[in-house]
Amino acid sequence: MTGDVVVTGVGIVAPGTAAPTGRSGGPRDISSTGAPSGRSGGALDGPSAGVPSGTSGCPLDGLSAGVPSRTSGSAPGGRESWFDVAAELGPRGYKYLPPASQYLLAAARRAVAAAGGLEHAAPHRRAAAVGTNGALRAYFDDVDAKVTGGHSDDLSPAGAPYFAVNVLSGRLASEHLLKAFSLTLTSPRVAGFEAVETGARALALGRADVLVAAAMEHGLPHHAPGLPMEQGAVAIVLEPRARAEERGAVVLGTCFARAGFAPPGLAATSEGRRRLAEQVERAAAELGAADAEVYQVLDGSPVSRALEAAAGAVGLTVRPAVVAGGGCLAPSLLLARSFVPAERPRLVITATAEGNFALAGARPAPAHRESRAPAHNESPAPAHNESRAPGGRSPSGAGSSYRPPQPTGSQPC
Amino acid sequence: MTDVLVTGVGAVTCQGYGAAALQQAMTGAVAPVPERIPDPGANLRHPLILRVPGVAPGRGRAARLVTTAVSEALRDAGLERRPWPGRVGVVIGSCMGEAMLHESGRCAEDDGAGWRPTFRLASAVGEWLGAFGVNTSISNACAAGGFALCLAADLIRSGEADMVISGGVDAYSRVGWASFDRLGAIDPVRCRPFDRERRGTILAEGAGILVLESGEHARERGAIGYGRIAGAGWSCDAHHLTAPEPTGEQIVRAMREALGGSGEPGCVIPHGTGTRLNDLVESRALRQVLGARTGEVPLYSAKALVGHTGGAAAALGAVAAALILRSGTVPQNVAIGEQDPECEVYLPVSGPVRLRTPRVMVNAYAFGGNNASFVLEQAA
Repeated sequence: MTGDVVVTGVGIVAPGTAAPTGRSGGPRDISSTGAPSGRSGGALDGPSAGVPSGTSGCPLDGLSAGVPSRTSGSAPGGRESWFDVAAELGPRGYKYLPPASQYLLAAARRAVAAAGGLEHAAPHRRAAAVGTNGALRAYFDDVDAKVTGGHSDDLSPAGAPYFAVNVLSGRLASEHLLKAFSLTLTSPRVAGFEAVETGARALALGRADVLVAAAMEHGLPHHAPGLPMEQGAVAIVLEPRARAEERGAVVLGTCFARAGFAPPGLAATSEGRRRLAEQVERAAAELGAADAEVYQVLDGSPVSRALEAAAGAVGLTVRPAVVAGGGCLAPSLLLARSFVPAERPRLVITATAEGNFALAGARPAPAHRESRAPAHNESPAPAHNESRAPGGRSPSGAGSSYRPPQPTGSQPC
Repeated sequence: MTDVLVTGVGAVTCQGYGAAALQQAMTGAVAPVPERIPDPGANLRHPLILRVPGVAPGRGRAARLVTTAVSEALRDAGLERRPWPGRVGVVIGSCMGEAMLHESGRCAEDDGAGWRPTFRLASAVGEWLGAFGVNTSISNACAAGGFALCLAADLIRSGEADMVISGGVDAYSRVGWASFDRLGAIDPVRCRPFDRERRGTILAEGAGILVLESGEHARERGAIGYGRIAGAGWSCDAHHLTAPEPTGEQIVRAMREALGGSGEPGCVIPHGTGTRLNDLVESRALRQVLGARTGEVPLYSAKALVGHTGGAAAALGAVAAALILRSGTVPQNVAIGEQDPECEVYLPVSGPVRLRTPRVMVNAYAFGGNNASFVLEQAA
């Protein structure tokens, strides 16, 4: 049960897409190693409610592919060169936050601004639900090295609270006075979708009037060897439709998420296939759009293969699978970018070897879909690092299969 | 509204395995003695821990704790035989997950997997059970188990699940212990909430699991419950990364929301960690909520008995609440030196007291200002 919840703001901060001031539209800049480089680019265009422009046409634009070296994408101290913290967040008070916290705050600022602010709800009616898998892995590496090689006294007392990943969500709550609740979801790969699902359920149950649902990651190459590196954050402002319409908010569309689980050893059984097919069919029905496309972020595991097979049977247009990275950001990025001007309704599916899988549907508001400039009216090109078997899936969805990720290089859209 | 019943409990703590061991320890009220962390890499000022005994070293320590507690809870609920009818979910809270996977020298560094997510405990339970259905990991630090139980109840109330296996778990992690140590939050003596001389907490390992079912589901299979989840309240201080908001405004709101119109509780299991400010703020907040009856509503301070089990703390508090409801008695608390006169709460230490009202409220607070309160009460 998630009720009639609408999206009123979207914010994205990811390599090649973040810009403090400009509009998006520049070409994506990916270094030869696959690491993001250069200045931040624009994730959102301006006052029209923070809609990610998606001008490059790649729904995963900004997530680096391949295996970037740490040095190629990182500033001194482990800070990532693609993100200008002072430009994004201000000159004071943010420099020493963990990178994932910075990304989350920046994405949320964009989403909240796009939604017209949150002041329409009292602080105790504003909430946050944030998904992550590896927001603090780099911090953990650092603490572990210092404690084993030295002493806990060597740790910065200011940094010590960051052993608990929900502290990053708490920082978000402090910035926007989100006092209704703050949830931090961490299920492998699906946590970002769970933030949407859990948050929407809480809205439907009356626990809050408006919610910032988000996903954040700060992965480094050694955290997920051989997989796309995930850095950045996505934030989506959700609120009950009646409330949004009452205050005259621009409704970007609707979205929903459903997370589930298939025991890895049972995913390929007839029971597993049946359960997964039910989930996909239910999500497709909920999306209710014959022209919808299915985007997949998969990892080649038995659960992924079973989910992919189930998706192939729904009768919607199925895109080739995108190789999943070491985190929950890629699916959330696809969901957030579903509110691109004139984009078709989209079903995003993802799964992981641990057994978690999730589906999220996005349906841009009709007026929104029709009112955008033709320049944005392009279908996303195949996502980066997509994997297609020889003779793989056509846009109609027939006959594709997963191929393991390539260990090096990147494939621009 | 759909009734959410507690039909089975499982507990693993430094006091041993099983809710019966916990019950026995509650009756005995003897403070556990912290041991030195058996990790040569743990270079801390106060390398103290309350460990679960008898867990073999190696990978997946937290997973072993939680599956042990799940196994007991299912037996307790009469659910040994599968497949189970209805839709079954898993919601597990943990602050640190399986952090040891990424800590130097604590397990095999590389098993060939490209990615080893830290928070895989709910997944591990789901795989172990062979359970299709909702499977969620929540990491609201030391309140994670409380939020997990509340989310599980929401799943049942919203009609998305008929039964949810839920609770919390945390095992030793070098990073977690070191960070607490650096924050000066470790008491070098023991965990002694509300004591005038308290100096912090003692971190501990543990897992607490409850089987939650819709009333209809439980009745259909003839299950006898411990009680029902009568209410839940959430809030966020939005104030400070680690310190509670001094007025306690938001924790008061969460408690009042949890209590709803059901009246005052017969017992409160406080968050009560033993850190100076937390115990003080919670005491004052309880006085705001309970008013003139504060001195008559007994607190049961679970952390004095099992330490601060992080993401398991509120779930173990819920197990203790279920045991208190079933027995109708609030055990005496582990004795403390002298109760802090600023913490004006009723902490019985000289013997058990009768549970006058069959309703127990559990509080769960965490870094990040995350607060959850929930109420277990005797089912009609």
